[in-house]
Amino acid sequence: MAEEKSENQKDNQGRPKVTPVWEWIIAAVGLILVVVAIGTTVYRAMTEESTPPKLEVVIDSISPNGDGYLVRFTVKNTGNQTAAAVAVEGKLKDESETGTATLTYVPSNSERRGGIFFTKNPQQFDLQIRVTGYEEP
Amino acid sequence: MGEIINERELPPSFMNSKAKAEPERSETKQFFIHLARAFGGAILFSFPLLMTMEMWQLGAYMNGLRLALFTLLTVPLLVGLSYYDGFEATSGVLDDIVDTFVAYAIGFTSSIVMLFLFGVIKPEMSADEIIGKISLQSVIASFGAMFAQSLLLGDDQEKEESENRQRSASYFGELFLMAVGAVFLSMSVAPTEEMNLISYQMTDWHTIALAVVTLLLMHAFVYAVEFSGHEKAISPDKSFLSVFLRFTVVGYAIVLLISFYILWTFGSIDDMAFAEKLKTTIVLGFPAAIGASASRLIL
Repeated sequence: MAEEKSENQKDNQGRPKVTPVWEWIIAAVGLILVVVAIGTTVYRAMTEESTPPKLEVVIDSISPNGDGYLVRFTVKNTGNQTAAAVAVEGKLKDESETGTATLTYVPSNSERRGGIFFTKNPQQFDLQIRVTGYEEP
Repeated sequence: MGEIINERELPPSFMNSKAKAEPERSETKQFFIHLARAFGGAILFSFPLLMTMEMWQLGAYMNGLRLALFTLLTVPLLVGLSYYDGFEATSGVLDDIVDTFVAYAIGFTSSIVMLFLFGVIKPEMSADEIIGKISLQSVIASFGAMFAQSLLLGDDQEKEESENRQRSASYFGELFLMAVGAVFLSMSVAPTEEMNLISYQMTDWHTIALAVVTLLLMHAFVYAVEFSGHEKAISPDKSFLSVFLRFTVVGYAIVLLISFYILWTFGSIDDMAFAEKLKTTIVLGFPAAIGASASRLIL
């Protein structure tokens, strides 16, 4: 490749004899990246204590879907442990209909989305949606 | 190298400087030997992913633009790989580009055949789904086709010939080979759910320990290359700090960037907090680092 040609001093393998400056520049960039990556994790490990997942559900939309209705929701985990098999239950206030959904993972400080189907229009009833359980991964 | 240029009149991609040394082997026979070797490489290296469920699912639903970008980025990687270590001796950039597309064609074809045999692609599926599944598999299969030369070498003469070409790797060349090794080895586990699952099972302290162990492992490989008398590894400055900073640390930085990119491509770290993304990146960085540092020994 062309970059070799710019070096004047070379050994018999065609390599420069002294480590060129740009190799050190690349090394510095690499060092910064690795230090930031490991440093971030060390900082987090030292400052954050391990709290169980804190899960909250927010309804994103309710829309007609096929013969019934689709309720789309977002589960947000504000704790710093990941929750697996997160069970979400949606219930119409008059107890006439219940729907459930399971999210495989909701990582810590992250969101995952899902949906529950109803046959009646949930907007005409009082819809309650909550997380009923999870599993530790 | 003069004899290689003279062979340009041969079928474009399978000409070989060896034909002169062994005139009794006909060009057609050479062509089929290289073709068979490349197919062998494609199947050998892509079969674990051909039999991975997540690859079929990703092929069907992953973001089309990310898949397109991924396929596009394979081209420069394959061209570079062909330059250093292709399935045949090349005489110029154009030749490397031709070989790249031959490797891609072989990867694509072998993926179609194998996915069809496994019943992963069926005529009733949409064209989008079929093409997605095939193109995702083709990436790794085309790497395999290109790798065929160095790992499935037929005889000593070609081995010697390929050693000669390998010597020309510069510092950038070595970093490039590390990147190729990282992509290649991490790809075989990157699409699996285990990448996320492992990162969820680990605490931050596990993550830090893994990063340190990965760095040490990488340095052990780098050390092995530097002092094995491997020709291409010769570098002027062999002090610990110099080798550690210029190869191990830079190599690990490349590994982390590549792991992050691959996880993003597969959508494995979408909607995650930065710290979680980083954790999964360090997890995938483990196989990627082994691939990166071992590539300097193997390629």
